[in-house]
Amino acid sequence: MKRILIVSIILLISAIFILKAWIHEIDDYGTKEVNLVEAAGKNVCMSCIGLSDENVFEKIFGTDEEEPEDE
Amino acid sequence: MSRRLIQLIFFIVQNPFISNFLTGRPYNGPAKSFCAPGLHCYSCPSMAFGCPLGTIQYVIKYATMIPYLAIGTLAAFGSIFGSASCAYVCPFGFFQELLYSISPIKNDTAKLPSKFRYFKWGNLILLVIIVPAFGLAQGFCAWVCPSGLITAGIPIIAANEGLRSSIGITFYWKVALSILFLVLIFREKRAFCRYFCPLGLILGFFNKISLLQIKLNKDTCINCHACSKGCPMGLNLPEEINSIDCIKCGECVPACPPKIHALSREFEFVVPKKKKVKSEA
Repeated sequence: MKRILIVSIILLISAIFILKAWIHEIDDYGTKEVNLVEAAGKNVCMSCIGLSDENVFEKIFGTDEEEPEDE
Repeated sequence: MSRRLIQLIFFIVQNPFISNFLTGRPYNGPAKSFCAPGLHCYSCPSMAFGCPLGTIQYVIKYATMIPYLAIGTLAAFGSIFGSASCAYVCPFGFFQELLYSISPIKNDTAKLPSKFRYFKWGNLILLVIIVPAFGLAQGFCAWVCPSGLITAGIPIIAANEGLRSSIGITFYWKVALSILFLVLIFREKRAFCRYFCPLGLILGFFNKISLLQIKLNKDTCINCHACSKGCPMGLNLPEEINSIDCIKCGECVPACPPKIHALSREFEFVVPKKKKVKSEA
């Protein structure tokens, strides 16, 4: 009985989460989380197929090249 | 109905667009808004649904928010079935079992040390959560996922000549890693699930509380460990029944000697019938 109660609570929270993804707008343009998921699935993901050569060290430490200063 | 047949049915349901492999373009209809509880790249041309792991990383990386849809879906499946969807729904699990069944180097007793299971935790915490949270990359998809390379990367690059010029170090890294995984998969049953899959780990969190449970009758069990021999995850049974690594496939149930019959798989909400107690006259 205790297990059924816990599972019911988890299912309720899951339903709220899924509903939130479908109706809650995450920015001023009315984008919902489900739109992000849809966009991710509809395009070829360069990361997934192994063509995303993201330079993580560059993102963490920045580039060595300094921006030219305005004279 | 046998487990293999159920796996095949779910595989067909999730991959109805096989002809897309010819064009190298993924299906992009409305079903992509839903996550199927299995490891299968959403960029795979034939895939109808989204991958929960890919979705989690994408939402964390690009929107810096909790991925409610994927977590809600996994929690719903997990709370009812535990990680049984690994055994019945996951296309990559099915793929591994098929490869193992035809493998010339398979070894039913082969097992890497159990410490290797910590790779799952590393993949989940570091590559699925932390790396995308810092906006660095979709860590697991980009650097580890063999499903992404085998079912999406290679077919898409083969069909689209223009993409071949973009091949770089990441692609070669993933090819090398996938070859390593394939060797392990040929040698050990479900080797990727055993040691590396973060999706199985997420679903495994629900194993102790899920409605679907493997039950052990301690009164009849003689600790012969015959159930261990049937376990595709290489667990030490019956001690690790319903553990975080158990996929609730039920292979251990028929492996138990028929006269002992100490194991069963049942849904918790099915209330067992109470035995009538005869009142003393």
